[in-house]
Order: sequence, then C-alpha cells, then structure tokens
Amino acid sequence: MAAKDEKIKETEKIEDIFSSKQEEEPRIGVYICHCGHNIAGTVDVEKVTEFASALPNVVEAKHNMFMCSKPGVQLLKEAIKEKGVNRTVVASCSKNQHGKTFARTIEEMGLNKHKHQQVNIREFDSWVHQKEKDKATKKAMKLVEAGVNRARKLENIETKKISTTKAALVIGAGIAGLRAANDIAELGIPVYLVEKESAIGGHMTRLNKTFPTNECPQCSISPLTNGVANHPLITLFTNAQIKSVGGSMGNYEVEIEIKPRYVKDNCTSCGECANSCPVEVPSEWDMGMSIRNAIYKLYPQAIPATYVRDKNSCIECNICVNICPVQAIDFSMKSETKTIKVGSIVVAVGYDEYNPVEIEPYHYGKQGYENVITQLQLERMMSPTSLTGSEVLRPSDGKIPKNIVMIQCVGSRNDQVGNKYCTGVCCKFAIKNAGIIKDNYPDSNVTICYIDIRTPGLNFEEYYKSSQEKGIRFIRGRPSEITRDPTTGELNVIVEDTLSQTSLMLEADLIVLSAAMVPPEGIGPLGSKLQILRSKEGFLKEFHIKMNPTLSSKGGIYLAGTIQGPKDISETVAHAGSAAASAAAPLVKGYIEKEMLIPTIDYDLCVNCGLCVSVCNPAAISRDNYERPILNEIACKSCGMCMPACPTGAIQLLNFRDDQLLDEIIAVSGGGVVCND
Amino acid sequence: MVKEKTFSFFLGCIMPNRYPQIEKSTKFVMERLGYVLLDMERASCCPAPGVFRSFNKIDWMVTAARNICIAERLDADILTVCNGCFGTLQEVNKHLKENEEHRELVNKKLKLLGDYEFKGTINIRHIAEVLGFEIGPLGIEDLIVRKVHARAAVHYGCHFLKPTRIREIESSENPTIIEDFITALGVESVRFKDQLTCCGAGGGVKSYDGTTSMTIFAEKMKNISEVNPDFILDICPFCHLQFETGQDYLNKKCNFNYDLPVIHLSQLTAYCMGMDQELVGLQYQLMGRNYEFEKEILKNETEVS
Amino acid sequence: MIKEKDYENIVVFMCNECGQGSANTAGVARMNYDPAVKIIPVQCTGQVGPIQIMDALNNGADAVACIGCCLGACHFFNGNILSMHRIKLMKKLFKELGYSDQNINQYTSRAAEGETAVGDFVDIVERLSKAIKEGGKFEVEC
Repeated sequence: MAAKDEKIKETEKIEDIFSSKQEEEPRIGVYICHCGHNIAGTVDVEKVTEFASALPNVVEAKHNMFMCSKPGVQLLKEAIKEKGVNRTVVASCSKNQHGKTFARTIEEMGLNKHKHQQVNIREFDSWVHQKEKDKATKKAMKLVEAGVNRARKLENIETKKISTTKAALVIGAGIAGLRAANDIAELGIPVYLVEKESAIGGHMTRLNKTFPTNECPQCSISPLTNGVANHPLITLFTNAQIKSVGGSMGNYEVEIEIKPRYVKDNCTSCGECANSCPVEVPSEWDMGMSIRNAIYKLYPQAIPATYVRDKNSCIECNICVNICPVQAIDFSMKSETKTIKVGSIVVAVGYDEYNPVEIEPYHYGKQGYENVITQLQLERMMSPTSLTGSEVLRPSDGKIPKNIVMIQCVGSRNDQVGNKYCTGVCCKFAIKNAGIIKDNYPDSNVTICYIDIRTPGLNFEEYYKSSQEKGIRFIRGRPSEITRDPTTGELNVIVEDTLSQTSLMLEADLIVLSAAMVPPEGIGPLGSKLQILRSKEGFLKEFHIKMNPTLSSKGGIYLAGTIQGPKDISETVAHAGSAAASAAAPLVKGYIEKEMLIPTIDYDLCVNCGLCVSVCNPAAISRDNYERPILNEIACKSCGMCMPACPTGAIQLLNFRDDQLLDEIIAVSGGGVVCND
Repeated sequence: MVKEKTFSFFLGCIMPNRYPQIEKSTKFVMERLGYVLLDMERASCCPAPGVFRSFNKIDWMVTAARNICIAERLDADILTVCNGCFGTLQEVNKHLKENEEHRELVNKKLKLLGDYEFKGTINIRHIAEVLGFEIGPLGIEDLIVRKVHARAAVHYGCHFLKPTRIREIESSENPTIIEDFITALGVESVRFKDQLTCCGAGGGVKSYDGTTSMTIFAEKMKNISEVNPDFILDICPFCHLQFETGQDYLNKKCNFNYDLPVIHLSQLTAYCMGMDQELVGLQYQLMGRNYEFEKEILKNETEVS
Repeated sequence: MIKEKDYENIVVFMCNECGQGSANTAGVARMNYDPAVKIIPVQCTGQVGPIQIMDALNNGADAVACIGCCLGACHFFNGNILSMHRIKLMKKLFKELGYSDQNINQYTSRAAEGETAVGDFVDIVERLSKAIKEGGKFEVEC
C-alpha cells in the first residue's frame, strides 16, 4: 500500500507544476500585424483590433505595420513590463516563420515561452481570400478570438536539461557496426560493441570480391577490424546478445548476455585443437562450402583470434583440452551477464540472405538439385579457404560446370512469394560473379536471366558494359522453373526470352540464384526489447525516409546499415557514419534539451484500460505493478495520440487539453462572440 | 447441413459416352467405401473450363451454377472424377460463394432457366483427393483384397491442383497425393521428365489445333516411354482419351509402337478392392488390351463385405 | 438574417507537419479557397478524437475535416491512419442514426504542394453541399 501511495504522490507533484488551473488571472495582449500590405491589404486590421480589445481578459489590443520588426516586438516587451500582460497573441504570419521570434521575446521578459499563441492570418487568411475582403476580415476576427481563447488557458511548459551517460552501445559488428563504433570512439566516447557471432566482420568478410573494383573485402575491412579491436575506447563483446534494455534516451541500462567460448583469452590461435578434433561438420559461415571442427575459428583472419567450441557437436573426447599448449580450453565456462549504462544505442545487425526454398519451382535444397545454389554460396565457393580451393565446381559431383545460369530477383520483386521490393544490389553482384567466372573459365557459358538490369551510380554502367563484352549472355525473362530429368539428373532452366519472344530451355549444370536481402533472423525479439518500430517489410523503420534515415522511431536509438533496408557497402558505410554522428551528438554535448510538452494523467479518472499504452508509438507509456499507466517523459514525442484513445479523458496533453481545444473550436465553429458585419 | 457419406455423382461428358468402365469402377469403389452416390438428373456439361470460359465467363458461371444447384437440392457434395469438371465446378462454386455481385447476377440469369438459385451450401470433391486424403493410404489398406505390383507413370493433369490458391489441395510443384495413395495399392510411381506438364488435350487445343495437341503429347509420351512403366495412371477422362487416341495416332502417323495401357485411378482402386479384371474394361480401350494386372492376393474376395 | 450560402463555418484540423505545411504553401502561392474554412492547428491528426469533432459540430460548425500526412509518411508513424479509422467509424454511426455522413472527412496533403490542401477544401465544400441537399444540416445538441 505504501508504495502505491508514494507513486501517486510523485505524480501529484508533477500535476501541481503543470496544472491547467491558473495561478494567476490571465492578462492577454493581442497584436495584429499589417505585414505591410500583405495582411492589411485584405483584412481590415483596425476592425480586428477593435474586436479583439473587447474580448474578455484582453488587457490591450494593438496593431502594427511589422510585428516582427524592432518596434513591433517592443510592443510586447512594454506590455509585459508595464501592463502586467502574462500571455500574448500575435496575429500575423505562420508559426514556422515568426512564432519563435515572439516566443523568444516574451522569454527574455521573464515569461515562459509557451505562453505565446501565434495566429496565422496571412497564409491562412489574407493571402487566400484576396477577393473577399469582408469575409477575410470576419474570418480573421474569429481566428483571433480562437487564439485569445487558447491563450487564456496556456500553461507553463518546462524545458528540461537531461544529462546523458557518456557512452554508446553498438549492436552488431559488421561493416556498419564497425564504422559506427569507430566514428563514435574517435569523438572520445567509450563504445560497447556487441556481436552475436564469435568473430567480427559480418557479411562483408564472407564476400569473395566487392564491386566494382573487384577488390578483396577482407583486405579493405582489415584496417577497420584491427582498429576497432585495438581501440582504447571500444570494449568488444563477441558471442554476445542483448538480453534486456531499460531506461530512455540519454540514459539506457542494457543487459548483455555473453555465451561461453569454452576457450580462455590466453589462446594463441595456434590451431592445434582444431587439427586434432575428430568431429567435422559443415561450416555455417561458409554456407556448407567447407568443413569445420567442433572447436574452430570462424575464418582464418577472425578477430578475436580466440577459438570457440560448438557445444552441440562436441563429443567431449577432451583431445583438444589435453593438446592445447597453453591450457586455454575450459569446458566448465559459463554464460556471463554484463550490465552497461549508455546514452545512445546504434542498431547495426545487418541482414540475412533470402532462403529460396519458398520458391517451389526452383527446387532449392531438394535432393537431386544440389547444383542449385545461392550467390552467397557461390562467394564462399570461390573464396580461397573453401573445400574446392576457390574453384567453381558442381556440388553434385565436383566437376567444373560448362553452363552456368544465374537467376535474378529471387525473393525480390515478387508479388506471390518472397518480397515486393527490389533489393537493388543483386544485379551488381551477379555481374561481378559472372565476370569472375568468365575470367577464370573462359570456355564456360555464363547466362544471366533478368527482369531489368539495375546498375545505377558512377562506374556501374561501365561495369555492366564490360561484362557484356566478356561474353556473358543476358536473357530478359524470369525463369518459370528448373526441371530435372529423373533418368540423367540433368537440370534445365525454362525461361522465355521476352525480347525475342522465344521460349528457351537452357542446359545448366550450375544454377546460381541471386537471392534477396531480408531482415535478419532475431530482429523481432531484439526490436521489441528496444521498443522500436519495423517497416512492413520487416526492416527497422527510420524516422523519416528523406530527412532522417538513421534515427529509429524512438529517441536515442539509431539505425546503421542494412537493418534499415537493403544497401551496398558504400551506402552502408555512409549510413553508419551518419548514425554515429547523430548518436554521438547528445553525448558530446553532455545533455539533451527537451521541452516537457507531455501528457498528464489524472489517476482518479483513469480506469487502467491500457489503451493509451497500446496507441503510443515511441512506447513512452508503460504500466506499473498495479497496471496503472506511467509516462516516460523523455521518450514522449508530444503527438497527443493518447488523448482520443482514453475513454475517460484521464490523459491530457499539456497545452492541448480537451478544454483548451474546445475553447479554440467554439470560436471557429460559429459559436462564441457574434461579430457584427 | 449436407448429407454425410453421400455424393451427388457428376458424370460429365466424356466418361458416360466413351469410358463407362470408369463410371462402373467409381461406383464400385464408393459403394465399398460406404458412400451413397446420387444421380444428378438434368445435369449438363460442366461446361469446359478452357473453351467455354474464354468465350463468355458469365454464361460459363451460370451453366456451372445450374449443375451445382441440382446437387444443392440433393443436399450432397458433388463428386467428380474428371479434372476439367472439377476445375469448372470447384472454381465457380468458390467464386460465387465469395463474390456477392456475381452471385446476384448469376442468380438473376438462373431464374430464366427454371427454379434455380445458387445458395453456396455444398462443396465440390474430386475422387483423387477423396481417396488420397480423406480415405488415404492407411484407410484403404484394410479395404483392399489384392495389391498390384507394377510401375506406373502418374499423370496429374492440369486442373486438379492448379491454381493452388483456389484449389487449396496440395502444392502443384511437387505433389505426392496420388503417389502416396497408390503405394498402398502396391504400385510404384516412376518419375519421368517433365511429369507435371499438360497432356495437350485441354483448352480447346485438341479440337482446334490437333497438330499442336499431338506435338505436346508426343513429347510427353517420349518422356514416359523412357522410364518404361507398366501403365499410365490418370485421374481425368479427357487425359484418358488423349493418352488413348494419342498413342494410336502416333503409331499410325509416325510409326511408333506404343501400347501402354491407360488406367484411371478409379479402375485401379476398384480392381484392388475386388472388382473383376474384366470389368476394368481394358479390352474396350485402344491400348494395352491384353494387359493383366500383376496381382498379389491379400484376402479372399468373400471376406470383404 | 439571410445567409448567402447554406454554410458558414467549416472547421479543419491540420497536423503540424504536412497539414499546416500544405496550407502554408497554398498561402504563399496565393491560391484561393472558401473563407468558410478555418484551420485549427494540432500536433497530429491522431490527436483529434470524436470529442473534438463533436465539439465543433455542436458549436455550429457545418462540416469538420482532418487533414494529415500521406499514408506512410506520418511523422508519428500512424496517427493519420488512426484518424482515418475514427472518422470511418463516426461516418458509419452518423448514417445509422439517420444523419448524412458527408459532414466529416479525413484527407491527406503534401507539405510542398499547396494544391493538395486546396483540393481537399474544395472536396469538403462539395460534400457539405451534397449533405445539405440530401437532408438538411447536422442538428445541434447530440
């Protein structure tokens, strides 16, 4: 019982500060601007002023040629100083234009800046009713009356300075996470970098070559991975995932769960354990294109270089334990949980390759169709450490394929299965891989079946042209199926060449599917822990597609890389850099300034239905142990959507309360003071 | 709602006119399974899902709806053994149940034909899915008196499973419903190249462009003969007709030597459930007249009631 | 008093972002519309509930509309969609009670294109005129 009383007392205190009950008698000053000829040419400003001065609680009503000018602003200052005016209404241009000017002015004079009401009689009146001067004047009167009614009940709104924790969390250590972590750390902010795999680098390290220069991604990323691993301000957690997230923008408390490696940090990475391990399983990192042992390193250049044990396939023969020259292997290691405090979170968890099993006519993964692979599998096959020794071979029998067919838009641009969007990267990487195959096996026939070839950006049209010159065949048509002759096992790709309108049956002994980029597995639980919104395709939703693609739907949480949508590496790096800058800003400054334009909850009226909780998009309202709604002031975005959801009117947005809006509505609806023609 | 274990038996056109043995087999099977088959008096052609629909979709729906009304009056789901009839009746039945505007239009026209009104009270069933799923391989095991040891080339045809989102029976890319069922009868399905293609008869192709129809069919026969099956198994009298007359045509015109018996699922199942080989009626068909099933007797015929 | 038109007050709630944005743009471009239209600024159309709409109608408004951002572009994610659903339900209710459902409407507009706001205003007036023809104005005191 005591705890309940305490909680209510706390909220009552806030109620007192932001009460709509007026501590003082409202003394309103109304000022009508001529704006030169812009307003006065259509609206009879004197009439409006006369009308305004007769309204209740109006202490003075004046008009001026240019309210935004020095003499205009002076009117406000004098009124406050001499006449005790404690709220102002200026009827002039739009709120965007000069609302802040007047608000700043009254703040200088000691009033709360939210006690100014801006009425727009220019864009909303004089400029759009130039031919109907009488009606425009009458409308202006009503708009001013509405403004005065509003001003009567305006409340003080506090601007809070919330100090931020000077640290950042970056989730995911692929190229996006690495870039973001590095950029934030370079600003002098400590960074916690959490990666779920046993090594950092992400998908970029799994590619064989990158377009358009065909350089080795391991070489490109190596300075960054080493830089991050050795940076004094970056703390790296691998084999780790986020367990819970609490707090809000500027001050988050995050629990990280670190799974045991079963190998201690003194591992020298000599590899003796893996060499002697009797267990062999297909490597998931290599998409099945190589074998790893139960104790392994993700890839040769992996950072951290410490080995890791796969508990599920380990048979506990203990050979590795005994053979390790530094006794680094310890099967008794347990999970650890670490709690960290950070001010900003950057989510950079990347993507997954679409699994084409869903597209039945392509028979991916079925017995007899081993020669149907995805582009990522091809990248791994062509890499130096694969089972094939970087040769391109048919998985069914290990022979070199003669006819390679690549199918574009697998899982993209599809209305029936997969996804509707275009991934935007597959044309480029198909051309890249086709080119590499043709370079290394000039006698092979390489065909790309496409719907459109999309290679925008500098250098890419040239890339496409040069691939055509290599002799790669491009067929415009989406293959309808991959058929298999049951007696010979041969595969054929059935496709219509829509440019020549011919149906073709292409012999293919290696078929490569250019699969889409889809949201990564596990994003659902992580997204709900962070309480951020997803787009309808499943990626994390950015705040504004044009103006803020790196902010999530919740303040303090930023998005970097493909988790916000399919991108190539250059776009990812740019995106991550932008996210890092935004994430670091409040941390470098040391504080966040927030205007407390928040709702207040009347617990006497509240029936604990929870509708406000479900409507709130930034998840700023939660429920306490007694199911009562509690507001997180910092996460609130002041949208006001909680108000109509509430069946009793218990939750009210400050300065936009039902009774405040009602006063404004009355004036504008035809009620209120009758204005004579 | 609808009567249990009762079907309105929709005969279609080809079966009663060309292959009465399929009708006989179906009746045998269903009776042994404990179903009652009701005659649909005044039923017409379904009408065909390819030709008719492409000429006038509304009248196609009206004609099909009239057939459905007859069954609605009998208060029993329709059973058909033909892919084409199934294609038309199932699709029209589903569409009119869901689309109010078309239902009203069709009912208005139906009134001109007599006291017909589509109410949407029944479902349309195909023998292949009644046997394949409802009875299933486990359900049929106890009811057969003999197994047939043979290798069959299974032909699914077009309208049974497609379009998948309307039929909602099984995936049309990799179906196993018939294979699983005939395994219980002892028959092994041999996979052949392009197994799921059309026989070449439907869509008006056989009557309008016989040459194309035979070209498509010849390709299919080539793939089938490569795997050397004992017979061809189908679930549609039109495919049945195509396989029969097609082999005959190819023998006469292109000097082939095809003689593969063409057997409908009803005929095979009836035989396994105890119907005489003579009533299977191969002697009245063009191909495989002398073919005899290689049987394995499981129990005495008199034991099955 | 003889009124020139059958309506005098049209209350339009416009959101901070695209709603008022487009009205401002229309103003800057000196586009013309009916002076009966009076704008009330709100944070988001998701903030406008049945209370505000009925307040307006009960106090003499002839028609009420909410104008927000385009679907998918709401700055607060889905406020415009919530508003759309509310107005849909209210229309249903009005119809069941025997009143016209053309007095209340939801629109979207684009901040950079003033004509979208003006177009919305024109549509409001058209529907209102239709409603008046159909069966009189909305009675006060619900």
